[in-house]
Amino acid sequence: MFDNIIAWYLFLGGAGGGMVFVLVFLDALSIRYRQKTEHSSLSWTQAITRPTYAKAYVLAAAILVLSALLLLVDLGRPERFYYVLTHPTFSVLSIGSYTLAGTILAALFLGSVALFDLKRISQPILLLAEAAGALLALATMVYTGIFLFEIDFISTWHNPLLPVLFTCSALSVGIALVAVLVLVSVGERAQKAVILALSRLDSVVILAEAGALIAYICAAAQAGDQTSSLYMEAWPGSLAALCNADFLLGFVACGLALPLILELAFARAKQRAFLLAALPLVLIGGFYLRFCMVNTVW
Amino acid sequence: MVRYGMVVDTTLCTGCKTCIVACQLNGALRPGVSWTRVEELEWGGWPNTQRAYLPRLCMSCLEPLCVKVCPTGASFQRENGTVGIAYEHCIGCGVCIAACRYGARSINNSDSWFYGSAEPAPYEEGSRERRGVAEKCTFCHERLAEGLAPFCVENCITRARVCGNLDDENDPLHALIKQTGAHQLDETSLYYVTGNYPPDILEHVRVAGDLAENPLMQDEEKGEGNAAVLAGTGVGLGACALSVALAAKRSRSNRERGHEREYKRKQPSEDPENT
Repeated sequence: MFDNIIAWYLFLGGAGGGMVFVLVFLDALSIRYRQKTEHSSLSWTQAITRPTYAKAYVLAAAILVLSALLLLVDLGRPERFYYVLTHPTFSVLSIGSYTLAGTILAALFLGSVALFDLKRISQPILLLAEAAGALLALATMVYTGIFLFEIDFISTWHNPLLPVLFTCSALSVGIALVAVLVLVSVGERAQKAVILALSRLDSVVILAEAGALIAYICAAAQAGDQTSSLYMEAWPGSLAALCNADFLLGFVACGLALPLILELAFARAKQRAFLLAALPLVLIGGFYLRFCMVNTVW
Repeated sequence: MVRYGMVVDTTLCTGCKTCIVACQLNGALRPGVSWTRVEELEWGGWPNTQRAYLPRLCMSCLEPLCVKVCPTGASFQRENGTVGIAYEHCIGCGVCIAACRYGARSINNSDSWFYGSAEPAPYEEGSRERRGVAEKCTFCHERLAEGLAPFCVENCITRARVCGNLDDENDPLHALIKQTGAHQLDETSLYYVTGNYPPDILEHVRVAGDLAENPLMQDEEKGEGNAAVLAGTGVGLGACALSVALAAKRSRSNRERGHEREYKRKQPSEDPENT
């Protein structure tokens, strides 16, 4: 089936899309706070400064470009990569490539506005660009799931909850990457409230991701793909195929359980060490979700 | 209307693989590439064993997923139901290969020729363009248009493969399907005769080969996990333990500093009383 390079493509595409979506969301909260300062619960959004947004958008664009490059090197004829854009069809890969390209452009535009402090760009245009960026980023996250979902004879992939699971995971990875940037680029005192808010947001997304996983399992169980035949009776069903150490340790433990426990501990004890341990785990878990799904063909 | 289809009689197939050689020579296939295959199946236990041969090719699905997923339109379906590939438009993304449940497609990334030759033999010239692109059985559509049978059909020594027009009720193929009780394979243009063999031997024309090659599906590796995941998890758990230890230490030193400050704050107020 697909090479592991496709697992990286899906992971990085989701991560970049997640970052752009989270950044637009944070900026929207910040605008809301500035408009109505009585929303004191959102005062932490002011600690994320323009240079931080600039760095984050550029990082998101770089991640998305890397993702596209990985797909390119996996092609049998990489020199024809532009055919996807010049000979488009209504295929998922074609639409996804446009979405990915659009998200890269949106991230570069918003990153440039923040980096060069382009005040000449009017507020409505900026808001339009942010709305388009958020929509494209969301579409990119969903696309990474639909890419596999489309293959209808593989039950581990053709599960309607797979795109939801991938989208939740991409959001969680996006939040983690933004949190890492805040940790390294915002002053220690100013970052406290921001990382606490991001950690809480990530906990909610991880809970949603766990819910999506449970729903995915229920949908798979309902599909009743217990194929048994004279020759294949020893083969497990799609759920049994997912019950392997890679999925349980790499995704369920590293990507869901441990980060959630550590982020809850961080929210309670306010010790940064908990968050510092949780963030890489979110990234590891995000990757292994794609790695296991790409490799579990049932 | 013309819609080409094929009947494959597994009870007649002897596993001689002449079809593969005929396809390979006439299609100028490169080393390692095969547009048709013959699965060898064995089941039962001594002395009650059985053996069957199961030819596979492009099944010409009625609604081919490989065409639907192609991002450049290189894969297409002809009016006669056969599926083709415009090599000049193919980027070799491999999505169609994942989308083919019969494993009929492949991509050859090697630029080699038979017998290690630096240049292709004259009969291999036609395959120069087929490097890094998806390729598969063409159903010999050009021969069909001329009223000839596909090479695999023409060269079959037992007439285990028969091709015809499924849209024409009077085509001998219909009579053969009725006479042999051939099963239509899913929603494709292929009909298989399984005779006294269990009908589920047809499971093997689906992605069985690909599944068997998948390391996560192999019993000996299943459940053990691969080294990278175990190492990643180990590092993750180590980082967790370290973070908990650091947090505990910091919390303790904060508490101690707090007590110290408390003690120092109280000290001056207590002194006058003592003196």
